[in-house]
Amino acid sequence: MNAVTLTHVERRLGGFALGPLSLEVPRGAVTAFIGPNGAGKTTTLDLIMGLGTADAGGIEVLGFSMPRDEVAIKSRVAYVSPDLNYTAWGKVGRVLDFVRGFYPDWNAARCTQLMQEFGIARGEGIAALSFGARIKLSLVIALARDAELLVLDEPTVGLDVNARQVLFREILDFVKRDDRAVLISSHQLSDLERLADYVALINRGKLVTMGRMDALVGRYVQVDAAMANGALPRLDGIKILDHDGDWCRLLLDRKAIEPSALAARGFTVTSETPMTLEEVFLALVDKP
Amino acid sequence: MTSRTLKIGPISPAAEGPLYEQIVAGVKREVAASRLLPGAALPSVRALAAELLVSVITVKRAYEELERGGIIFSRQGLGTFIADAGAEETRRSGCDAARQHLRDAARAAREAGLSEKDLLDLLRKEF
Repeated sequence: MNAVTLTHVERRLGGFALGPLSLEVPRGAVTAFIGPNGAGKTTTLDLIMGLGTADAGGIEVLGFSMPRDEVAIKSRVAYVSPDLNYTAWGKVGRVLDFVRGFYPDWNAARCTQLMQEFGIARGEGIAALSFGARIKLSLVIALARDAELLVLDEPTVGLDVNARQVLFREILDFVKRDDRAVLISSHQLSDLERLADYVALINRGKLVTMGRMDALVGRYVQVDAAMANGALPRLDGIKILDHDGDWCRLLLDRKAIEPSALAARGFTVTSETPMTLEEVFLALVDKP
Repeated sequence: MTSRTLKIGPISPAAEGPLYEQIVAGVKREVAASRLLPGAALPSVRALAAELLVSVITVKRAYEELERGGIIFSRQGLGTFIADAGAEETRRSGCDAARQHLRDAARAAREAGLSEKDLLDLLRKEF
């Protein structure tokens, strides 16, 4: 059973339309949820968390249905977002004492350990916390619970290198149990390429691609080639990234065409370069 | 089943090759140097992923490749271990890799107009 299954979910917000979006977040794995600004990532995560209601479609979380089982879902899902605001509570310690009451799965010893790892103290005033330190507080609150699903919306914004490493270790520790799952949205694609098992890419409210991280990254290759007859290869699975004279740079979808097939069409392949997630992202998401 | 931590060096995008290949190479290195002996238990996939800060799939892929190469084997419910023939397989695949590199070197040397003697001199210097 997946941790999260979205089926043809739609949500209209002003001029923005999300979906119909279908998405699966498997258990025992880290799933990266990526896309350009305004693609609908936060809207989607909010729907999973019951912040807002879908206009159509089904949202299943840990075997429960949102919004019908909102309470059951929220008691099993931990959520981190830069939008969480604890300023009204004054001090870090007061927030922790307050939120722990909500969660039967709260682990006080774990909370103390996390505060040490992230370097925040009970006596610190929340208004005086840096942006990064506020994220750290959200992370402590999410990770001090024994949740089944961790939903992280931009959890690395403002985090220093040290805190980022702590977070990565925590994420991978979290999925040591294969009934748990992590769904993480971030623009730090190199981090996600390393940490995440699965990836879902959305753009303008629609799914572009979803699957294993290594399959997505390995599926595309950048090829520089010289054209024999000056004609660009307009074929399925080939995207022309750049060209100048008889030189061209191509993005090849190896599911459709292998670089070796270019030679048969009169091209001289001068280089074949594997791609990073960041490069795949740029190639698959059209510029606005 | 407890297992000692793998000391295979940092897995880094700054190093050559995909991350899973770096894990494969690291385990092979340890086996070839007899720091990992036949029967030795490897960490679980999830434990090693957390330790190396890489995705579970990356470690799975590395273990699958090592298993295909006969260097490790896994027993359902028990864990993953260095195979008896692990050291030999590592040496054999190292030998294959060296031969492939020599073939490439020979081709590059011919293209650069070097004689057989020039190439052997170069090889002696490198060795």
